[in-house]
Amino acid sequence: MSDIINSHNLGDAITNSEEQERKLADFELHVGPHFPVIRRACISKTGNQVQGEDLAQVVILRAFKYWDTYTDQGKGPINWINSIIRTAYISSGMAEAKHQKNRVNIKTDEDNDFQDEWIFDKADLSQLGPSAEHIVISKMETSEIMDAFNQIDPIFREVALLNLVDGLKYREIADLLDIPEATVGTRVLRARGLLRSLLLEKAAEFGINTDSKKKKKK
Amino acid sequence: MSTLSCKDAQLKVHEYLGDELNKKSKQEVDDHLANCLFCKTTYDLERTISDVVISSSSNSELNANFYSRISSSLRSEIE
Repeated sequence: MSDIINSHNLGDAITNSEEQERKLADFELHVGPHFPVIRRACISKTGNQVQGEDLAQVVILRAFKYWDTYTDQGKGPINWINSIIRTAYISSGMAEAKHQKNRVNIKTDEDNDFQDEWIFDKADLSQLGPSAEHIVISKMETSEIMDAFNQIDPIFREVALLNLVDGLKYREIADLLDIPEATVGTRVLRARGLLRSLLLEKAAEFGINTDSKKKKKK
Repeated sequence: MSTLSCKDAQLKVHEYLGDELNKKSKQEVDDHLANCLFCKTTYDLERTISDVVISSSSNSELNANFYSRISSSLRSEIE
């Protein structure tokens, strides 16, 4: 008798295990492609890579837990996941901590001074061949590019990556991060301007004369 | 005849690259770039930076570590 019961329990366990495997495979198929977006959105929200990745892990595990409740309405799971990000971010206390930090160290997106840094003067390029800089930059190692990019504040960097690498439109990023569309544009512009400055400094190490830009940055 | 100043054209370059401009604005930038070697050089530089960031980001070791961690966490949820 006990053998029959044990056999029955074992059968249930195997069935349950198979269901979980199927659920995981289905989840990874549909949500896996969005993992990079979830990660970047969380880093951008928290303004910190470690906290952002922790938050992304919470979001992904929570999404998996409730995957059975998801119903596709033709737009894919990103809107559903977005609501999980929002809830997890607020309940984690990171939103409040970031708000407090911003009250002390105000760094507004509306500060447009950086636009002057973005614009090149014609004099800046007059000493260069027409494509000297982009040839040097295109030959840089991956690690050099990422080192430069990782120096940029994640609040700006990850928005630029959502746009550049994940191909999200400004409107989509604005919805994902709960920020105005104009702020998305500002952050992308700022990240790109900073990255350009950093890469030009590295290009200088290859013998490209960027003195005029360095003076301008100061 | 280009109607944009160099400053306006350069401020729109990132939107141009991200395909965020409407047809009219895109045409204005196209016209400017066709007639301004200086801004065309800037545009080429920005496009190169976009290309290297896209290729570098997909090879990032940091990202790989994160995905490995997620994969392990998900697996432990079902075991």
